Amino acid sequence: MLPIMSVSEFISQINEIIGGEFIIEGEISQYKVSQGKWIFFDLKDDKAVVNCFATVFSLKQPLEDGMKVRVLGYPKVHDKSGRFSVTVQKVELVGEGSLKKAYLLLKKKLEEEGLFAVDRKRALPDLPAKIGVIASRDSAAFGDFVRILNNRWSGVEINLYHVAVQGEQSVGEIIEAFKFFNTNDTGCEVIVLIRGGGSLEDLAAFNNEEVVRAVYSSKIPVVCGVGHERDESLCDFASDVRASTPSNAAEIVMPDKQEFKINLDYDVEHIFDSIRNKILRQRRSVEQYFYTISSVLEAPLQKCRSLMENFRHSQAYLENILSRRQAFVLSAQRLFNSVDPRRVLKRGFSITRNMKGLIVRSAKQLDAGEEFVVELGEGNLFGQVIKNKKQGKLL
Amino acid sequence: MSADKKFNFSKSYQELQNIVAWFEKDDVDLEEGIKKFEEGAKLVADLKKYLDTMENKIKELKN
Repeated sequence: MLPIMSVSEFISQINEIIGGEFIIEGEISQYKVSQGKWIFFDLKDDKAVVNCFATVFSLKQPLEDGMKVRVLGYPKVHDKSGRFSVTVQKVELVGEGSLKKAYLLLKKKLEEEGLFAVDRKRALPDLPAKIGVIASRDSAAFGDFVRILNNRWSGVEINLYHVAVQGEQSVGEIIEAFKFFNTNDTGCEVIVLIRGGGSLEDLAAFNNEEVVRAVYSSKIPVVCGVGHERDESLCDFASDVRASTPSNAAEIVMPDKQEFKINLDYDVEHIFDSIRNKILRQRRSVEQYFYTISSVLEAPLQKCRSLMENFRHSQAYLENILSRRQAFVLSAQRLFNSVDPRRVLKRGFSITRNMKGLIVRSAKQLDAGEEFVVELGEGNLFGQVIKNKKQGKLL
Repeated sequence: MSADKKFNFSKSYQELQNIVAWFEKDDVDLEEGIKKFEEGAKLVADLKKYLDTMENKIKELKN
C-alpha cells in the first residue's frame, strides 16, 4: 500500500532521492539574467534539455548561448513552481570555442570599463634597482627572463614571487603575489608577470577577471609577458607595458649595458663639445670686443694724429715767422744805427731844444733872453739868447 | 667609487643627466662648466665600473 503524502512531502522526498552533485556537459541556450541577480539557461545535447538556475554571484565568468560547458550542480524540484532544474554552483568552459567566446566577452566588458585604456598606462622607471617578478621558478619563462637580463644588465636585484601559472591555485596565487608587492615594502620599482606560451586553456589564469583586475590595480607599474609573440592575454592589455615574450620583458625593463656605455661616452663627448664650443664662442666674442673697442678708439686717435700733424705744421710756420722777424729786427737795428742822431752829433752837429724839450729849428722860435739846451755829441750845454738874428747865417 | 655597495647607480645616472641638461643651457659659465665636466667624467667612469663589476642577484620572496 502506497503512503499518501502532501505535495510538499512529495517534492521534499523527490529532492532527497535525486539529491547530490552532478557534473553535466552540454551546450548553453536561452541564457538570460533576471533582475541582475538570477541566471537562467538551458543545457542541452542532441536529444535532451534541462533547465539550469544560478545566482550572478556564484557564476563569475561570462556565458553566452552556444557555449559548451561542464556544469557542477545539484538537481532540484522547486516547491513553488513544481519545476525541475539544476542549481548551478560552478561552470567550466569546454573546448577552445567556448573559451574563445568567454575570452572575447570578458575582453569587451573590461575594455568598456576602461581597464585597457591607453591614457592610464604609466611610464616604467628608467633604471630600476629592484624588479619584482611573478612567475613559476622552474619555468622556461623565468629562465629566459633571467638569462636575457644577465646578458643586458648588471647590478639589478630580482625579487621572485613564485606562483603556479596553471591549474586550480594559479589565480589565487597570482592575486596574492600582486597583493604582496603592493603591501610590503620590497623596494621593487616594477613588477614583471611572465609565463610561457600555451593554449587558451593553459593561459586561463591570465584571462581571469580577478587576475586582470589585480594587474590593473597594482600601484607598482606592471610589465606583462605571457606566451609567444602571437599570444595575447587580458593581463597584457591591463598591464602598463605589454611584452611579446618573457625575454622581451627583460629587454623592456633594462637597457643593454653595451649600448648604455656607448651612450655614457656620448654624454661625456656632448659635455666636452659644449665646453669647447663655449670656449670658441668666448674667443670669438673677445675678438669681436677687441675689434669693437679698437674701432671706437681709432676715431679719436686719428683726430689726435691729425692734430699733431697740424701742430707740427704750425710750429714750422711760427718758426718761419719768427726768423723773418728776427732778420727784420736786425736790419732795422742796422738802419736805426745808421740814422742815429747821436752819431751825427758826434760828427760835430748839435741839437738845440727850448726848455720844453722841443727842437728848435729856426731862430724865430727863441726870443732874446730865453733859455735853451744844446745837445752835443758828448754832454749838454745850457744857454741864454743874447741876441737873435732871426735871419741870415751865423758866420 | 670607494665601496660598490654604497654606490647608487640610478642616483649617479640621474646626476649625470642633470649635468648633461645643465650644458644644454645657453648661458653656461665656463669655469663651472669645466668643474661639471670633471664631475660628469667621473660619474661615467663610476657607472661603467659598476656595470663591469656587478652581477645580478636573484632573491626568492618568502610568503
